[in-house]
Amino acid sequence: MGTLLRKSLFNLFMLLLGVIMVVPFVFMISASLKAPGEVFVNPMQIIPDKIYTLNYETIFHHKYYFHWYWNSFSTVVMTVLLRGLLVTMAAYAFARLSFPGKNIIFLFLLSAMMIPHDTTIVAKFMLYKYMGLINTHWVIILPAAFDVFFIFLLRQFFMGIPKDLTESALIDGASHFGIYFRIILPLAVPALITMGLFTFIWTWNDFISPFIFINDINKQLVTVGLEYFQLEAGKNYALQMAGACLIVVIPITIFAVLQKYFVQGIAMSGIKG
Amino acid sequence: MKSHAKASRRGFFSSITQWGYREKGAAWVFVLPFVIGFLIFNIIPMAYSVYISFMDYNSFKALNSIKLIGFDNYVRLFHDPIALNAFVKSFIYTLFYVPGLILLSFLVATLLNRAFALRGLTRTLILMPYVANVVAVSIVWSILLDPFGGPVNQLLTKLGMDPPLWLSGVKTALPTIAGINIWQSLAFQTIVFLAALQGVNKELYEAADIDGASRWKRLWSITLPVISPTTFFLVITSIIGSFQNYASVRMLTNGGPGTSSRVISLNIYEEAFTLNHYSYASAQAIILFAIVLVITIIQWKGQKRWVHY
Amino acid sequence: MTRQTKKYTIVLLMMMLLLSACGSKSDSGGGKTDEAQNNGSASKERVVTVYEDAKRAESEEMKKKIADFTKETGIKVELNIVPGDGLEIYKKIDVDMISGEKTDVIRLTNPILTDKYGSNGWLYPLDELMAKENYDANKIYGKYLPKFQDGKTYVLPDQAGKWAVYYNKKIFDDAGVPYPTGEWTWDDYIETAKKLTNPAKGIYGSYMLDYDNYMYMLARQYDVSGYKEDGTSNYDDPAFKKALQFFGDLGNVQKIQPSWLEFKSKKLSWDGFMSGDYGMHFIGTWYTNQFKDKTTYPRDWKVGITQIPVPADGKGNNNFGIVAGYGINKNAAHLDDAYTYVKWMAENSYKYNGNLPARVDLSDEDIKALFQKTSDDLNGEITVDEMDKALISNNLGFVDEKIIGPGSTEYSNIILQEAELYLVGQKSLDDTIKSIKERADRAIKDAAQ
Repeated sequence: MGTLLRKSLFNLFMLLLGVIMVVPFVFMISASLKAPGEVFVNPMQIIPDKIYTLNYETIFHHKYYFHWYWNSFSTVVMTVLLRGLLVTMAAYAFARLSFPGKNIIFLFLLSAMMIPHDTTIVAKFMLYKYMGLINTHWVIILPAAFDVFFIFLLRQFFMGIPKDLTESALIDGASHFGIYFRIILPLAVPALITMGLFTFIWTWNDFISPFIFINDINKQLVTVGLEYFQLEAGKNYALQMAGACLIVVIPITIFAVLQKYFVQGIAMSGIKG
Repeated sequence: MKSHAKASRRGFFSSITQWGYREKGAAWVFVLPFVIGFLIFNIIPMAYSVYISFMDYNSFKALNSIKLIGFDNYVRLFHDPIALNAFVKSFIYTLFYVPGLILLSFLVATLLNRAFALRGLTRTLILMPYVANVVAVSIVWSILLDPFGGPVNQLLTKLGMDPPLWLSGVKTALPTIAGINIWQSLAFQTIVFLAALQGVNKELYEAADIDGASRWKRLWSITLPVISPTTFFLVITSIIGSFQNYASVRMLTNGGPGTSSRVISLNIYEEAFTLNHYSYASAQAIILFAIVLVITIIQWKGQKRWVHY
Repeated sequence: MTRQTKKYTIVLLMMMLLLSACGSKSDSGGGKTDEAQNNGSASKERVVTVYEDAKRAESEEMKKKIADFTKETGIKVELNIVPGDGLEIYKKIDVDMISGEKTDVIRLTNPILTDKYGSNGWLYPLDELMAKENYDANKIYGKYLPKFQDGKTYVLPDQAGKWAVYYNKKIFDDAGVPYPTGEWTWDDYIETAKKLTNPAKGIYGSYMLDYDNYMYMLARQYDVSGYKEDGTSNYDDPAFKKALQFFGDLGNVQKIQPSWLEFKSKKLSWDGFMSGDYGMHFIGTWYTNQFKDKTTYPRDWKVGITQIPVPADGKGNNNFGIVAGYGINKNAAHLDDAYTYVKWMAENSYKYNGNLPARVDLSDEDIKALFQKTSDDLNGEITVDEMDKALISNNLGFVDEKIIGPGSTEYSNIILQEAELYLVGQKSLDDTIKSIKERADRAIKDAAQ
């Protein structure tokens, strides 16, 4: 009996912990369905007496909100694909092929992980301006595509694929391109999904790059757009909350569907030192 | 002429396909695109930052009229109370953020490592903040923690407490931002710890049980040493990450009240884009990079003392 | 991996591919329309592109003004909308300028900005264009025409605003307080605001913004300069200390308006008075516009206007104000049309926004007619007489609202940064004044080099 009680208490405690973690989200959804004046009247009332949908209607009629949303979505998808291609290729070479300078190049890449993005922002701005990238979506996609973190992660993963598989293919006369496409990539699908998932979330939530590199209100992404929206909504907190709700819908849905990979991917990659 | 070009083109294509069969050739095809892009988007900006930091691009003027001025921007930094203060604020932030993050994520991972009902659901709930957008998160927390009648302080007042000013308090702003960021990034660290905990050899625990070791003893002499490489990895990446907090600080307090949460990343941005001090901002950025580098190297050297591979 | 998940993965990947294809299509689509616009302007259609902030771009006044301009000149106006509030938009415009953006016209809302853009060579000099058609800017704008060190003209002014107190009649009625009229002192203002403040209803008697000049408005009323004879900062003059303390006390001690902390933590905005939660708003006359625009700001209360309060000692009987204007980007894509736009706006925009014109060639009758129109637009909420008394026919002198001179951009930033430390209680008043003085001195010296 004692252990049963302790067990259920522990269950309860864990569930409570989980609920506490999502309180802000609950508040967000609840406030977005309240009339502007009611947000602070009784904030702990989670289900409003009357569901108020005008906040969402206002957003649906907003001149830019969904435009920003679409910009973000297309930019993020492009980033995921391009990064997927470039990073897997390089990671494959680092994991399986030998070439001069391999270790030095790899160490060099790793050490660059230490450059905080914020510190080079001014130089990046001027460089991208020179390259004509400023105010296009490529200014988000291209720099994000060349990401070192996932080279590290995927290299670990590729090294875990049995060598016999690729060696027998080589003997059968397959080229390295063929091995990469037909053997390595299909086996790495879980890792690829993990990478895709993280890339999606990180790029979707990136604030600084679009904020500094994109000028046109038309071309802006939704993260920065939401800040503009917040300024516009002013003291109308319910409206701000509705805007915030819509922005987290996509990543949360994707996360909910693919959650397994989120956890597995890290565990599999063997980031254990 | 025409046929010659054709032949050479055929030669070019066939040599590319040929590369696929030669290990070295294939390796370059795989690696070069990434390395070139990496140089353009990571290394050149870094080098260019250093270059700009020696220029006099400190006013709103045309690019072609700037000239080299040597170390002036670096010297100026040491006479600028606002910038120095920003460095200090960043350190204080790191002192709140990194230990808080590592301790909490380890704790949550340990709890999640046990078997209990609804574990999947609980895990999902705990991981959720990680996917939420930083702007959305900032808006919600600003409203929740509004010292002038926000829900949290309403609740605290009802409980008879004297509620803090949270993001608007000179002393509380920085810890509050750190707390919100811990809440948001907890998931990543927790998963990594969880993976490490699940990787601990069960036989070690069994042997300890036979010896009659206490819970603390088990934690201290088995779990912590075994997962120490993971802890090391997380500490290093969290410290580097803790200096990159521009977006959340900007959204939550914009450095205020006063300069009480004006961290260096915000200061760099403000110098560059509000005051048009592009060179001076770059000099601050280079100093920041140097500091991060030194901290990392010190940790790398120091890992022998507590990291067991 | 089960077959099920495989299926999902494939479907997901296909979806991503499909969407990204659409995505890139829409990208190139965006590029194309830009090109089309540029080509269009090169051929027949005349276009001018203009920076405006998001809120102004949406305003009725702006739409009407632009429609009339296009009708009269045949030039189409395309707004380059910059999101953000007040000075925030100039961060974006700065960055645009440096990256060689070609948007033609920039509106410069205060003299510090005018100086920053004009003196650093980002604006196109108008002298030749004006000489070509014998346009005598001096005759039309006189003392309001912004001057630059190189003697050229970069900006034509469209308004020379003054300051006034706008009040919410409903809040006065509810509190049973008589409307303010005629001369009054700051003590009267505070007394009145106290009577109106009602925390239970969330009502403050007064509302002020976070502009630099609020920090030193009292010093400006006494006409104390921001610079000493020798060119250094005059911020150690006791008037500035008194002014900063006065402003801080309004929120922190008198509690008649949101304190700096509350203003910042709630992210209160420049158009906050329109929410109807404040009794009085001390602001420039450009604000009249907001009252006309009932689409953006629906309200169930009436507005009144009265003159700026003065210090009780009678030594600071001054109103103040600033000149705002239009300049042309030196990289402008449509120079001639931009010039036409700037000229038209400088001459005519006062007819739309209810602000005071920056023209010296208008007669008293013209001004009366302007007030009459504003009054009509407001359905008589404010009468011609009230406007005249608040702004012109009173015993007040006139001074500059801002500290303008060498390094004024930096100076203004320093004041805001340091004053905030005082306003939130992080720094003592004396230390604040001291560091403003020191830092400003250095900034002035840097600017001189």
